[in-house]
Amino acid sequence: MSITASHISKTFGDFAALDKVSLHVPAGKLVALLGPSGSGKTTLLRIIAGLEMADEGSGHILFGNEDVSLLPPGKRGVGFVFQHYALFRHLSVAENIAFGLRIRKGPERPSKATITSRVQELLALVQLEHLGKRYPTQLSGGQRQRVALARALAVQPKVLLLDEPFGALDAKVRRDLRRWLRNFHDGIHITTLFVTHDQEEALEIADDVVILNSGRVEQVGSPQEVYDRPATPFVHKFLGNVNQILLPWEGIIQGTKVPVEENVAFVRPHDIELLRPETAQPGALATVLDLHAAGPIAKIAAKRTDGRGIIDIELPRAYFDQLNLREGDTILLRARLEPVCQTILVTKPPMT
Amino acid sequence: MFPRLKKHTVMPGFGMTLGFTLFYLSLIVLIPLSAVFIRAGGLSWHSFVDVAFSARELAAYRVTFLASLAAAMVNAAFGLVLAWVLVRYPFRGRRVIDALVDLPFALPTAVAGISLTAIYGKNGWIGRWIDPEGDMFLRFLSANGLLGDCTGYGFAGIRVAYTELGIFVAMTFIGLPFVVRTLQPVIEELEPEMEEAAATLGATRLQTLSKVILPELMPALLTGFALAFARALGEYGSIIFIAGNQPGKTEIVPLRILTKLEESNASAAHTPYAEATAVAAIMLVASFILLLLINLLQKWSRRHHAH
Ligand SMILES: Nc1ncnc2c1ncn2[C@@H]1O[C@H](COP(=O)(O)OP(=O)(O)O)[C@@H](O)[C@H]1O
Ligand SMILES: [Mg+2]
Repeated sequence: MSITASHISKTFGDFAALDKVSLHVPAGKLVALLGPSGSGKTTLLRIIAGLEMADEGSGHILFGNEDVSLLPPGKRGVGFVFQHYALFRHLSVAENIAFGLRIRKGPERPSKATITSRVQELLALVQLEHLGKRYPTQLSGGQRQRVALARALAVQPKVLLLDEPFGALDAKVRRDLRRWLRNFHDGIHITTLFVTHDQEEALEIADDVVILNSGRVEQVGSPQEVYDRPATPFVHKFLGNVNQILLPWEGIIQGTKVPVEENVAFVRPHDIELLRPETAQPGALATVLDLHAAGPIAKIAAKRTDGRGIIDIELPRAYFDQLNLREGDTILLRARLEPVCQTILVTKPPMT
Repeated sequence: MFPRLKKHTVMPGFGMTLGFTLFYLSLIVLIPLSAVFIRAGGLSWHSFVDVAFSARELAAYRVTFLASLAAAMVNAAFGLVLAWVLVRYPFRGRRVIDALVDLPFALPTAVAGISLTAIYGKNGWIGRWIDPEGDMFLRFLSANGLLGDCTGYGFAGIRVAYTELGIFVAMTFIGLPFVVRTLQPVIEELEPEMEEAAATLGATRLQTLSKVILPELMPALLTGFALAFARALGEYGSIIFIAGNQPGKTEIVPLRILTKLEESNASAAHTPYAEATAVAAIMLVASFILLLLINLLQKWSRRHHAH
């Protein structure tokens, strides 16, 4: 079932945490809600779950075609997974998973045998078959998070909402679990909205990425789209390293002039070509400041000789070795591609 | 087999700390306590039973334990509500109320006793409205008062001062801070997300309360209950003012112990001191067993909280 949020605003006091945010998660897809910390991701997710109310008259939440804006969380059919697990400490893993079924009343409540077999199924699904009798405090962080996921899935929610589910785990476990989640989702195809502040995580597992900044949506698109064609300077800076190259002329954005000192072009470090100055091709001269060649990618920082800033460059290791650079060497730089600056229109091509 | 490596801890020598603990505990607790048994042991078994289980003593045990139990239960219930409100709801004057909770701790018990007696006595602020002889009660709430004139019915009135109820009231008063102060930090730590998780799983408020919040708070609630109970059992100062101390009715055990000491008419066979310690020994054993039970209960409810 799809999730649609339209024009959701939320203010805390006089601080606008969300400003007319709209978002769509197609049925069966895994969408990442990506943004820096404090951008309003959790707030939006909580509004979708019904744990928080949007500002009065500010918009609607739809699951499929049904407007759920006024339903309490328990009636919306959401599975919510919290960053810090929020497991019930006094219940075993199996009892945690069974909670949502056991509290049902009357005919909606499955029989004991049904509940037991459902819990076993879910334990198998999250690969914790043998830990049903343990208590949450006896599990690792990654295991706890999977229990939380199983508990949320037990009530067969229409949509799954995950708030930085791997945020509290260490890097290695995070990477394993994020692949696991992707495979898991490919297996059960439940509409999922997944909150994260980690761009690598979002780009790696999501079908679509929604980028949020200061309570506004900056861009929506597939991981490749948002990475290759960032719609705004913010997205550019947020998704991976980027050089901001000051241009020596005025620019125009949507009809308004941008003064010289604010006119920037964005070039990713791996999109910069590095040549020997002898080749005498067009480009910018620079002096090598710093070299880092540990790992498959070599990183170079170079200072432009015209004094307009420092540029980061990334090269494949083999090519770097071939160049045999030293600190203090003079090099010639130019952008491999037309620098990405669609929103900041430049009047002349840069770095020529 | 591998040789067992000595485990290093930050604090110095386990042996030394244990030794110190035992020594200190003996000095402060065990030696005085054993004196009770040794002195009580001076009585023959027959006279021990006679002294410790006379009708007057039995009445004192009964009123002391029942009133303490009732007071601790009331404190557990209302202390829970009070602690919850103080932690979860920011309202004006919260700090003042929070500070007031400590008052029963800080107040000399005699002051508490006199104040309570003054308030609940038949001329006191509350007493005059509820005591069968209170002036306001007679004028407004009794069958002969305004209420009776209007409806034909009236309240019977409740006497608090100089009754068992007074004992209970005093015990409740002095026990309140224990429950509130043990629960507050635990409620502060309780993640609101846990309640929200229950809500998204379809739990009603009542289910969230009974199946999530209360079980999470149970160990602390039991601790608070045990402390309030123990405090009520041992309370003397405030109760003797409000209890009236009628023999066989509103005498509490600590008072019996004291009066036994002061009674000089004890038969020649044993000293007043031995008689007093006999009562004290019973009190000691009973309290110990009760606290042990509460402790076991607490351990059981805490079984999953080990980190
Ligand atoms: N209950 C609240 N009261 C006041 N401000 C809040 C509340 N919840 C969130 N905020 C503010 O709203 C902004 C967005 O918060 P949040 O949605 O948690 O961000 P994110 O999850 O993206 O880190 C933050 O600046 C935060 O301080
Ligand atoms: Mg957040």
